[in-house]
Amino acid sequence: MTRPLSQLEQLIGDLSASTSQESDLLLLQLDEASADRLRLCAIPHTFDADVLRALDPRLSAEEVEQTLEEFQKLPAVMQVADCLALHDVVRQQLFAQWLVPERRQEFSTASRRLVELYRPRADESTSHESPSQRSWLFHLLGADLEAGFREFRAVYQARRDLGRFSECEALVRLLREYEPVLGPNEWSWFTFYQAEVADDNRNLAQAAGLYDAVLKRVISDELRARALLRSASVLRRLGQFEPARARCAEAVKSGAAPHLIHHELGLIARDGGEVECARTEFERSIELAKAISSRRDVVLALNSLGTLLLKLAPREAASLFQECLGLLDRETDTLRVAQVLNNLAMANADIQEWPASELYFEQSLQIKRASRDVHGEASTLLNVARVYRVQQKWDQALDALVKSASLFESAHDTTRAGQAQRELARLMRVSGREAEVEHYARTAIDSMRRAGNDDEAKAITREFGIRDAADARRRRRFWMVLIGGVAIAIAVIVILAST
Amino acid sequence: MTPFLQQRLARFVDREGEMRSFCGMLEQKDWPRPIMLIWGEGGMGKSSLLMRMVHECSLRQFGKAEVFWTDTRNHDYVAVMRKIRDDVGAGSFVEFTNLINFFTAPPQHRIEVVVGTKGAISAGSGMELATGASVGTVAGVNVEAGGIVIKDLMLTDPRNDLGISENDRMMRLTDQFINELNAAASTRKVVIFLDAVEKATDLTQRWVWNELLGAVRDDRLANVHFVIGGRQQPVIDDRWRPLIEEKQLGPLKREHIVEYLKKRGLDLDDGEQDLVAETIFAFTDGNPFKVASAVEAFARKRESNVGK
Repeated sequence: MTRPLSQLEQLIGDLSASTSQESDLLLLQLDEASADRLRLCAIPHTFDADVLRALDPRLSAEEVEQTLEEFQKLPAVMQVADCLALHDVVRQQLFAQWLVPERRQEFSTASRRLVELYRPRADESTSHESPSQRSWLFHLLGADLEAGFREFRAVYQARRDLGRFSECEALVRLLREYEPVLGPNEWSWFTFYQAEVADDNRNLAQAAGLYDAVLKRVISDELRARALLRSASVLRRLGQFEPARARCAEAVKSGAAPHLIHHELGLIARDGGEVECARTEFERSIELAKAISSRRDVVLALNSLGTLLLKLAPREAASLFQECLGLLDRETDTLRVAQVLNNLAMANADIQEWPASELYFEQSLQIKRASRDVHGEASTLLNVARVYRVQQKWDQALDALVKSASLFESAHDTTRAGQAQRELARLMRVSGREAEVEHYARTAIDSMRRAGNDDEAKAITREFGIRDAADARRRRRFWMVLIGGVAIAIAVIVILAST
Repeated sequence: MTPFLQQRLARFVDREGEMRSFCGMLEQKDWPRPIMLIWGEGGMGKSSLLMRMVHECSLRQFGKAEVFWTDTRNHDYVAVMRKIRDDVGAGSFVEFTNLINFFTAPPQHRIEVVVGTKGAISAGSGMELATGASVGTVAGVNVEAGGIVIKDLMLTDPRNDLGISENDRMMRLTDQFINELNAAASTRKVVIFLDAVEKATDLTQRWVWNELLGAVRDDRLANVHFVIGGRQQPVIDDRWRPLIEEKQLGPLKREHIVEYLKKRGLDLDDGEQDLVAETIFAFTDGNPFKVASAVEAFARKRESNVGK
C-alpha cells in the first residue's frame, strides 16, 4: 500500500500549477457525478432541494436528498438560513469557469431552468427586492445576456426612479459577476451605473473618474447625453465649474434634453455665485420644460429658481412656489408638496405676510403629522413659532416651541432641541417672563453641550448672561494653575540666584 | 442542530483567544466592549467562528439574531431590522412592525390598530368578505387567541402619499426599532451576528455603523452585543475604540493542523501525522479553509486507494 505522505504529495503535486486550488480540492472530494452537480450549484448564490432539482432535472427526490446530504459534509458548503451556499472563494472560481466560451451553452441552459424556478408569480409584487426576484434577474442575465440586460436596465431604472439607491447598488453588484462576458455596449452601461452608485454614495471623485471612462468609449447618443449631464453635476459639486460647463456644452451636441442642460447650467452658476446668470438659466429651463409639457421638470426648475430668489426677491419666490404647488398632485407628490409649502411659508415670512406664512406652515405641519415624521414636525414647529411670535400669539408660540424641543429630543437631535430651547428663552424674555428665561437658557446650554456643540453653548451663555458653573470652575482652575506656576518659577529663580 | 453542524463544531480548532473574549462578553456584566469585530481574508474561518459563537449563545439561552449577506440576500437597513426582529421575537417589536406597515402599505390595504387600548378594538369594520371566507389575517393584523398580533406585510416600497423623506423615514424606523430592541434586551442578553458585512451596500454599511452600532455608542442600547464578521479591516475612529474588541483572524499553525487531523480521525501514526501536517501547512500556508479542504481531499484519496 502507498504511504500516506506520498499519497498527499501526489495530490498536492497535481494541484501545484492550478489557479483554482480551492475548488480543485473540493471537487477531489467527490465522485464525477457529484462533482458535476456541485459545479452546477456554483451558478446560483445559494441552493436547496428545489434549486438542485432545477439544475439537474434527472435527479429523483431521493437522489436530491442524498446529494444535499453529501454536500453538507463538505468544508466548502455552509448553511445560510434555510439553504446552503458554497464558500465564496470556491463559488467565484467555479462561476468563472462557467463563463468560458466552451461552457456557455451548458451554462445558459442551466440558467434558463433557474429563471423558470425564480420567475415571479403573477400575484407577486413588481418589486425586485426579494432574494428570489434578484435571483431571477441574475439568472436571466446568464440565460440570455442581451434580454437579461434589457430587463436589468428596466429594473435598475425603476428602482432609481423610486429613490431606492441601495437596491440599485445591490443590482450593480450582481451585474459585476458577468463583467468578463459583457459586450462593449453593456460594459459602458455597467460603468455608467457604477458611476451613478458612486455618486449616490457621495464618492464624487470616483464617480467623476467612472463617467470619464464611459465618455472615452464609443457609446450611443442616449448614454453619452446622460453621462455628460451626470458628469457635469458631479464636477459642479466638486467645485470644478468650468469643466462642468464644458460638459454641458458637449451635452447640447449629444442631444441631451435642453431644459435639463439649462437647469444644470443654472445650478453651476448658482454654486459659482453668479445669481443673475443662474436666474436666466433657470428661467430658460422652465420655459423649455413647459414647451414639452414635462410637469416634473417644470416643478424642478421652478423650485430651483424659487429657492435662489428666496432671500433676494421673496415676493417673486412666493409666486414661483405657488405655481409649483399648483402643478403638484397632493395625493402622490406629498413629500414635494410639504417641501414647497415650507418654502412658501418662508417666502411669505420674508415679505412679512404673516397670516399667509402661518397658513402654509400649518398645512405643512399637517402633512408631517399625518406622515409620522417626527423630525419634520419638530422643524416646522420651530419655524412656525417665529411667525406666531411676530404676531404676538404668545401661547401658540410657546406651545409650538415646547413641542418642537420635545420632538427633537425624541428624535435624538440634541442640537436642534437646543435651538428650540434657546428660542423658548428668547420668547420668555420678550413676553416678560424673566423667571423662566434662565431655565430655558440653561436647558439649551445643556443640550448644546450634550451635542458636543460648545461654541453654541458659549454663545447662549453670553446671550443670556448665564453664569456657567462648569465654566467658572474651569476658569478658577486655570488661574490657580497659572498662579501656582508663576510662584514656583519665582521660587526657582530666587533659589538659583541665591546659589 | 444538524449532525453536520455538530461534526463541524467538534472539529473546530484554534481561535481560543477569540472564543475566550466572546465568552467574557457573554458572561461578565461589566464587559467594556460590546462590539466584537472579526476580520480576515477569505477562507480564514470567520463564518465557522461565528457559527461556534452562535452555538455558545444557544447553550446559554441568550437572545440572538443572525444576519448574513450574500449577493442575492443583500439586506438593506429595513431588512436587517426585520431579520433581527424575527430572530429576537417579533412580539417585542409591535410598534416597529406597525410603523413599517404604515410607511409601506397603501392606505386602502391598511388598518390602524391601537394596541393596549382599554376600549374595544375594531379592525376591518365595514369590510366585506366573500361568502365562506374566514378572518384569520386581515391586512396584516392577525387575530389570534390571546391577543392581536401585528403582522409585517413585508412590503418594501415607501408610500408616495406621505410627506416624509427617505432619510427621516430611516431615522424614525431605526429609533422605534432601537427602543423596542432595548426593551427586549432588558430581560435577557441579546447577541447580534452580522456576517459578510462587506457585501452590504455602502448605504447599509453606513447605517449599521452610524445608526445601529451608534445606538450602542450613545448608550441607547444596553445588554445588546454585536459580533461583526468581514473581510476588510474597517477604519475605526477614536470614538469607537473603547467599545470595540478587534480580532484579526490569521492562518493556523502547524500544531492546529495536527489537532485537526486527530479530530478528523484519520488513521495515521504520530510520525505520519507530523509529516502530513507539515506538508499540508506548506501547501496551504495555514489558510483554515484550504487546510480543511486538503485534509478532506486527502482522506478521500486514501479511502479510494484502500478500496482498490
